[in-house]
Amino acid sequence: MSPALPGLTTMTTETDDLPLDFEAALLRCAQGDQYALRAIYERERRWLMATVLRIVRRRELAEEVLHDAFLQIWRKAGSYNPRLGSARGWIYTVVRHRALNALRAISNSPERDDERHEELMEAHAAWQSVDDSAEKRALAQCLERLEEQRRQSVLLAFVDGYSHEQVAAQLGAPLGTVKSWIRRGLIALKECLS
Amino acid sequence: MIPADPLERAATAAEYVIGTLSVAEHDEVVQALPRDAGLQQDVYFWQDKLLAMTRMLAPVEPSPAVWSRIELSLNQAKAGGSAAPSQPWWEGLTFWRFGAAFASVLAVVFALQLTGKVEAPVPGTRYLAVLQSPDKQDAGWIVEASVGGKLRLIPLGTTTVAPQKALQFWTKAKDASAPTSLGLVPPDRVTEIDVANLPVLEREQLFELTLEPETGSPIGRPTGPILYLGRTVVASAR
Repeated sequence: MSPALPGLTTMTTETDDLPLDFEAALLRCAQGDQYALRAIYERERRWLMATVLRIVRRRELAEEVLHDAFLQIWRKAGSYNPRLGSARGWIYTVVRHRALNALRAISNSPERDDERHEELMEAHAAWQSVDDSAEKRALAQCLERLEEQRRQSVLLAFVDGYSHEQVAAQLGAPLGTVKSWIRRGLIALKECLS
Repeated sequence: MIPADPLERAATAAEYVIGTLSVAEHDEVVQALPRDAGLQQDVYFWQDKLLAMTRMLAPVEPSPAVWSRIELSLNQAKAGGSAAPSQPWWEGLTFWRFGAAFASVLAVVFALQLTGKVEAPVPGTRYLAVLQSPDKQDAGWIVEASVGGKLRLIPLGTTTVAPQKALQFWTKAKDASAPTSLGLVPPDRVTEIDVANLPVLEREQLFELTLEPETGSPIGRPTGPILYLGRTVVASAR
């Protein structure tokens, strides 16, 4: 028998940044291959955790969301259609929606948090300056072209998972105006990205 | 209502993806999606186009307990039979194809049995195979399967798998021309497979484990080295 590895954790940490064929892995989940689910988890867990934690803010809850989301990925994997888009995009939607559910369940209280908002703006600025992929460049440039308030609304909704009400409270704008900023902002993004 | 106007529909899809729709609007999209190809395209478009924004945040390591809990839930669900993965569209086809193939194999077996040429696969008959390294120095795995039940692939230790590699499990009937993949398997745990998903279960059937790329052989046949292999023997018949 070959010697056992010191531990799976060690092995997976070493492979963290190696490419994984997410499409093939997700299709294998649909066929009941738990190993494929684990491959997805190992490769993406830290980024997914960051996404969820930013939205729900509490570590314990974030881990619960991550757990529930992975069971959902497992159950829903058969509905993923590889001809329409990437598996990672599909996975993030499942996980983000799960986080939003959890957030809306605990509170939808619109409150302004300038410190948090500042963090987001700094993260956005830092992100913009890193030139890592064509997709990312296109998105960063198209976001850049949006009017300031539309851009901030989209960022608050996507990264912080804010509802219309929460975006309105943060930006100090009427609800109807915020709804329109987000929707018009997204339409402008669509035209820019297409 | 899902808007008919393409741009408005795209905006609804975007709001669905980012999560700003009301609960009612969100549910409406969920219900419309399976039947609305255009909406599906819009949703996938946004999923991919906005994905890069998830890299705005610094990664955070979840506690190692998270995966253990996921695995536990999966196994509990499996034991309860409730959370088997939802059936993808081709699964039904595969099932019927295998089902039909298996039925015709049975028919042939029964026909031959009348003429006394082949023993029948009696329900409950147990088969065992010890999978050894090709040099026979090392017995690494046991395959145990019973007609009409489950196949269990049991590790006798942990097989070392290099990063970016995976173990793929195969079977080949006595007179089949090529092996059939039974999927990727974890190197350190028991894997269970419904015998109904095997092309056949018989004496002297070959089972093998090969080292493949981590997403499995790209061509449906073994491409990597054989790590372990063995043939079945009848362990007991009820």
